[in-house]
Amino acid sequence: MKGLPEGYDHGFAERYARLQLIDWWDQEAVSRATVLVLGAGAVGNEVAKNLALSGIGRLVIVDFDTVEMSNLTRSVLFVPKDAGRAKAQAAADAVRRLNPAVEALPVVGDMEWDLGHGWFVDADAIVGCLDSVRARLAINRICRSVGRPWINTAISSSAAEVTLFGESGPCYECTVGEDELVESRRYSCTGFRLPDVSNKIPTTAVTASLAGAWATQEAVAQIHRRHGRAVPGLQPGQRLLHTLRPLGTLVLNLTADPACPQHGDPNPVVRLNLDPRSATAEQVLEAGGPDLEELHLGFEFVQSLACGRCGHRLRVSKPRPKVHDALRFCSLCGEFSRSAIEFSVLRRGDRNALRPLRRLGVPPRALLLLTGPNRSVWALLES
Amino acid sequence: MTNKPQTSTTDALATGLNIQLRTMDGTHVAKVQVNPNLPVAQLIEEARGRWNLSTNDGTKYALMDTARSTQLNPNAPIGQQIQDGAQLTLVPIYVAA
Repeated sequence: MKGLPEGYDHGFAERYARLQLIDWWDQEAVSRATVLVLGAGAVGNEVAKNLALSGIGRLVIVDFDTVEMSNLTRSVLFVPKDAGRAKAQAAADAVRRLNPAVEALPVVGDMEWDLGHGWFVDADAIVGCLDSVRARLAINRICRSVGRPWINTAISSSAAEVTLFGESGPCYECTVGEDELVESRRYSCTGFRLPDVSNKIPTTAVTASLAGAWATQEAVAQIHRRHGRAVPGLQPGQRLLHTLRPLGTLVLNLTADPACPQHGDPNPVVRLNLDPRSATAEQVLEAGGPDLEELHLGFEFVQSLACGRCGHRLRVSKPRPKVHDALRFCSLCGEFSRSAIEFSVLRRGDRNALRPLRRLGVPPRALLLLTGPNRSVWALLES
Repeated sequence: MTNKPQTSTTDALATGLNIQLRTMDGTHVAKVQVNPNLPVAQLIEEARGRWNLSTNDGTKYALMDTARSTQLNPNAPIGQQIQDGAQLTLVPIYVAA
């Protein structure tokens, strides 16, 4: 045994004895690691299950959806009584049953707007198990902005794929055609949320297992690489494709798009000792440094919607991506012309800069971009 | 078997790139001449349409230079990414999870 993490006993040594026989395996590193599992569908279930069995330290499981009976044919963590429950919650509960030593944190919400992106900075591995191009583009954008690699998964009824996107080199957006970028938006051209359209795509437990197994291997490899260990796996910018029809395996090398907007240098992250529950933009800017003038929320915060015809105002107080497009319909005069009164940037002295950021829709562990004339930093609030 | 996903653009050019295009399962193969300035995404769309490749399950397609196992940039012209005579394979990209 290479050394037990503090607080672990001989049950720990016995439980992971076989894994410790693997020459590159470091159970202590695995048992201290945090993995972000984005999406708790069939593949997310497999990844969470495999990591729990491997004795991962902490799993953050994110999903806004609820369990349906039709999920039970391929989602190993769900049982019939979970129908109607939040997938993230049901998966976290099942993970704790599989391995009580794992800290399973469910985040019931949208990965883009409800999860603090500080998790992307601190997670040892990030696994995307989401079912839309839009969501993958969002993960890619966040990871690129803080210089973190991520693992993408996808399946059909006869194939499974896993891709490792590095902190540099080809990224997910490099692989997406311009037409598809436009098509992938879940929002109207005004940025308001449109009704969710669920695509019913046939998949199986077999392909979910294949993708989940390889994604887990890549996540474990990422954890070990952070500790300086060489572990077999994909190179950044490689896509592994298993197909059942025709039967075969391919490893593809992706090509970087020189015109891709996600290839700038990431801004540094500064950790600020501020309570994210009560901190205001004014306090964050103050703590960030006297040269930093603006705090960027990362979204438009809609205070109210005003009807262009009758002038009636509807108080909203939500980030724009959470405001449904239908609210732009004026219930008083019937016009579809409500426009938003909103802001996305807070400056020192602004009235809204004195409001707690939580009240402005900023989630815990958010990353906030602070800018000044000569530098920009990501602020991560930690108390 | 030869299905030719030729476009009016490609047909008109005498100085085109000669490529062999196939699906991963080998059910469709074509030798075509393409305009080097043609974006890869457009060639994929043309082949997908001509060969009636399924997109019902959300499947998209990428183009792979078979000899180098390299997935081509969909937004760049094909002539910048391959040599004359290249063999290209249409590879599915999946969306579900």
